[in-house]
Parts: sequence; C-alpha cells; structure tokens
Amino acid sequence: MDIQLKKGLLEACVLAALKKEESYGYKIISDISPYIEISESTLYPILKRLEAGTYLTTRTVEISGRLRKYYMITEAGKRRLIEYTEDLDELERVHKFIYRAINR
Amino acid sequence: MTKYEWERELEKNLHTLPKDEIKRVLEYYNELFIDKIERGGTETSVIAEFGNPFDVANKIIAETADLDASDNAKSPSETIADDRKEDRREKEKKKDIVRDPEPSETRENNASVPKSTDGASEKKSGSVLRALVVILVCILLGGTVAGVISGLFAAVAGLTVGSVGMVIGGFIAAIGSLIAGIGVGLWATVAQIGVCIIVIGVGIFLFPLCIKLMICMGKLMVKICGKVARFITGKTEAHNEN
Repeated sequence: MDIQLKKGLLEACVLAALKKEESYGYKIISDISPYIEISESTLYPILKRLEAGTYLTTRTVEISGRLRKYYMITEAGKRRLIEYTEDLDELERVHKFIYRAINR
Repeated sequence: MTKYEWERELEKNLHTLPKDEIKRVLEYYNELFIDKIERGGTETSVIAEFGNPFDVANKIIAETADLDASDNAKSPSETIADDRKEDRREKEKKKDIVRDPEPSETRENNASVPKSTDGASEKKSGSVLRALVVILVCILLGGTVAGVISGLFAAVAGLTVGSVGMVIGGFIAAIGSLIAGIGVGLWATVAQIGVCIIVIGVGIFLFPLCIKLMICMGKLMVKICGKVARFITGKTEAHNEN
C-alpha cells in the first residue's frame, strides 16, 4: 500500500485498538495485523506521534516479574478517531469512483 | 546473531538519537522480545521477525526526524485542523469570483521525507543569515517600498470614499436640480438629473470594486509577509515538497 495512505490509516488503527481498553505493544500489533501489515518498527513511531499529539498516555506496569508499557487512549484520541470517520467516508467515495473507472 | 548482539547493533545504529530516546527504543523492543518468546518464539526467530538492526534503526531515525520537524511547526492535532481548514477554504474558493491562490504550507508538515538529523543546526545558522539579508533589503528599499505601498492603499481608499461621495452627491444634486429646475426649464432639468443618475451609477459600480481591491491588496500583503517569514525560517521545508 502507498506509504502516505498507510500512515494515516495506521494511526487510526492504533487508536481503534486502544478504544475499548488499554493495550501494549505486542497486543496492538496482533490486533491490527489481520487487517493491515504493521511491523514493530512501524508501530514505534506511530505510538510516539500519537503520544506527542496527546491522543494517548502511557504507564509502565510490572507484570510477572518484568516491565510492560501500557498505552491508553485519551478523550482527544477518541475525538480524533471520530474525526477520522469523515476521512474514511471520503475514502470510500474515492474507492467507488476508482472502481467504477476500472470496470468501464 | 544473539539477542544481545542484535540489541547492541541497534543501539550502535541509533547513536544519532538522544540517549533517553535510544533507551526507550531498546525497552520497546525488549518488551516485544519477551512477549514473543512467551508465546513460543525462539531467540533466533524473534530477531529475524524484527529484521536487520541497521534497517530498523534507520526507519526509526527517519520517522523521529520527521516527527521533530513537524513538532517545531505545529502539533499533529493542529496539522489535522489545518488540513480541514484548507479543505473548507478550497471549497469556498470556488464560489469566489476573484481567485486567490492559497499557500499550501500544511502539506509540507504532512510530507514524511527522511531528513538527516544533522540538518537541525545547519537550518538555524542558515535562517539567521537569511534574516540578515531580509533586514538589509528592508533598510535599503524600505522607505521606497513603504511609500509605494501606502500610496497604493491611500489611492484605493480614496477611490472608495470618492465612490461613496459620488452616490451621495449624485442624489443630492438630482434632488437639488429637481427643486431648482422648476423655474429653469424642463429639458435642462431632465439633462441635469440624467447626469446625476450616471454619477450615482458609477459610484455604486466603483464602491464594491474598490472594497474588493483593498481586500485583495491586503491578502497579497499577508501572503508576501508569509513568504518572507518562510524564507527566513526554513528554505529547506520548501525543498522537501515533492
């Protein structure tokens, strides 16, 4: 997939993965992977960018003798996710336009 | 390669990043490593999944540099708000008769072109130099340019006031000639009123034109100031648009 297109989608995917409950690196990747290819090195900068934008916060927890970083979505993050549906609607209309052109 | 070796390679390749950032990256990968091992992976298979430490480091550096650049300009939420503002502006533009090309500054912030992290200090000294050039030009030409610009604005403002005057004056003169003309003669009066109507018409025509002209000149000034500011603060941003 085109990299610019993918970047925006992945940010929304990560927020979606965090919407219901907090999550951590491995789980986020396994939640998103069935839908779109995401590697560890791709996820890291996305998490960083989302945190910088105050769309998520983090906390480090000790779990069975080792540390795990949990990511939680913020209110701003939830609003951003809703904003994203506008983009998705537009994307869907563009898809239809392109498919119609191909099928002629 | 062992996990330790992979980590050391990664750490080495990340050396251009600040120490606390490198620490965070290593903690991130360590956590993922443990999670994958817990779910049945082997040391070899996991670091194979992670990939070449050189490539991983480059990817993270590239994304981090991109992040820093856009952080200096505005936060991601502001960028998104700007994108939506620009979408709305583009839709409104189509209704406007006078077309004003808008600067697409926000696109620069969205472009994720990898930059070298050494560029930060280069940019700073470069922008100081450019600021000096602009100041010099301003001192040399400033008086003339300011004179010309204020002259233009005054002229247009004068025309605007003049057009209002034409409308009001035309009406007054029309009424006046109607009253006075009762004694002077029918055709003379009609001719005078006709002239007054023409004056009123020209005034009504000129007024919105002048207002529009003033708005355009204002927008142009703002755009020019924006371009100068961008020229000073970062020519490199313009180069990264592709």
